Amino acid sequence: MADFTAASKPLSIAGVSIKDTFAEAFDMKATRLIVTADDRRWCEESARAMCGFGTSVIACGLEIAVEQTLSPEQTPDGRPGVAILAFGMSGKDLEKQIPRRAGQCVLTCPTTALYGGIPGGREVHPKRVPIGKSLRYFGDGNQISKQIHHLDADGRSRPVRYWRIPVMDGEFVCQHDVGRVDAIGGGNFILVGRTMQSVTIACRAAIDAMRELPGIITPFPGGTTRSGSKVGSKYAALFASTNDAFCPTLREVTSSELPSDANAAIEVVIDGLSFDEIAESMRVGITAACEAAASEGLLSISAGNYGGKLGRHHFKLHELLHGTSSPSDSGAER
Amino acid sequence: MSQITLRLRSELPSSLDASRIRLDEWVQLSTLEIERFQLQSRSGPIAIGDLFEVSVRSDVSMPRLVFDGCMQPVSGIGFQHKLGEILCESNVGDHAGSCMSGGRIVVRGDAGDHLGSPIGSRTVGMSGGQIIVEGSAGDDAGHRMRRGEIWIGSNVGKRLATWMVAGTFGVAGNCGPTIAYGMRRGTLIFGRPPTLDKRRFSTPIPLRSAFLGLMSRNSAAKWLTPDFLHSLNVCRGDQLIDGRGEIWMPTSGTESTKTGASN
Repeated sequence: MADFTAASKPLSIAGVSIKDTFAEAFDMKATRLIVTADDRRWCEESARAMCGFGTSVIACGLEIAVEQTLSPEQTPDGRPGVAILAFGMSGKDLEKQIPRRAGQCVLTCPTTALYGGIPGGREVHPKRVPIGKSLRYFGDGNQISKQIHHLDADGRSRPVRYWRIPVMDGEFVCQHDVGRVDAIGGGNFILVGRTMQSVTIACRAAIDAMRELPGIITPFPGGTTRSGSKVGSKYAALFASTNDAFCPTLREVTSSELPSDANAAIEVVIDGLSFDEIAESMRVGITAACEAAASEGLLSISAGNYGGKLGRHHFKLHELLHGTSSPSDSGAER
Repeated sequence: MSQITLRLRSELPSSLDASRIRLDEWVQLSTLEIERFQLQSRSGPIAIGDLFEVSVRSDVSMPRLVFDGCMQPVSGIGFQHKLGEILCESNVGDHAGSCMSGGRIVVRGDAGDHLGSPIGSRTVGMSGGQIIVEGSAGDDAGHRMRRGEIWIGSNVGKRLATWMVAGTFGVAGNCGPTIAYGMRRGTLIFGRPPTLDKRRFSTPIPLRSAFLGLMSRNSAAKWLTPDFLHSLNVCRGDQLIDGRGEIWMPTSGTESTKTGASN
């Protein structure tokens, strides 16, 4: 059981110390895509390809991962599906990357179809990311545009447009475009342990607990990264470099954040559609990690922040674990 | 927003033109103004209030116009309709939904000729919205249809969807001769196998698409059941004008004639 102490005092969960610090996150643009297929395996193959090389905007263009698996009842066409969240530093990045990935990873995968997963049409989200709008040309003039009529509560027709593109297994069905929304990237917490095994157990417990939470992804391999970064570098060409404060081998030669008995630290990185969803996922993940790995050598939970150089959204660990964290605490205008 | 109900209280003249009625304008009018609104008939202008009992409810979110009573002699209901819903509790006359561009028209009975078609010298038919006829429709339905959906719960007459440009037209029952003449694009869906001209339409082949799942979940036509949608054939045409339209039909008992037997 979690053993919370008062907010002003040192905080621990199951004996694991929670540092009085904050994770610093930044503004991003995001969208949600839904991939469906005739069976679960094709669907997952396609999603895996779509989300490949999508861990960090530093070099991948997007941060992209599966948000949730969807049952046939939850998808637009009644087939097994997955929801994918994609985050970019700008709307233009999304507009450039999403059609490329959809064209090479979903269009190519047998039986798949691709839909927008952000509710609301052009009147709600006027800024759109093209999908079928770009991919339709693959049909070489044989593509078919179909609109499905929707009448809103105010009596206005707001049809949704889909493209049916002839391919070698029949048709690839793809929604014309999908809305994009403001989002937050770079929520994080750092697991500090006596051994690599202790932080592995903690990390896997955290990711398992966070996996089905809506509105967030953890885009790095296994949800975590060992190469947490700080802003800047001694090399002019790089704008990020190793977070030396959490490197065990540099403990004695740099201003270290690691206790003397810590030999491993890994960082869980979270992108989300809202401050509240990231905060909730951090609370769930940290609690699960502490409860699973306290007896295995997990020593403390910290977070990556860069003195305000990186982002305006601040997730204060003590406040979010007490349920008192709110967007207004971050100093960000919402 | 408001719901306006026109309840028939006297016999209608043999012909009444309702094409001046615009729901998007009527929602701004008072009951008295609607009663004074004049429609053309063969015998001259007639005020709405002389034919109908008008009631207005303002506690609804969607603009709605309800015709309560048989409107068979009334033509042009829903002409250029673009906002909200027109609900006809019984039959309607010719040119219902002509040139409509949005919203929805529901006919609980039969519709006359030229459903959703251009009127007068206009060259563009329905360009958006949805028409649902629970009964049958007459001749020339969906002529020059460009966008939107029309769903017929029973039969349609001659010259269905001629010169169709795009959109979706579904017919649960039988249809008369000359189907989709000059069809360029768009989708015709038949609940029963139609008789098609083999020169103008390709040989039907099985239809397989994830889009059928979308239709199954979103269609306004109750007869588009999942079982029906997953046993369809499709053919393309009108090939004589290099058209790329498609016709969906049940796999069983597909008919095709060399010359279009019923033309």
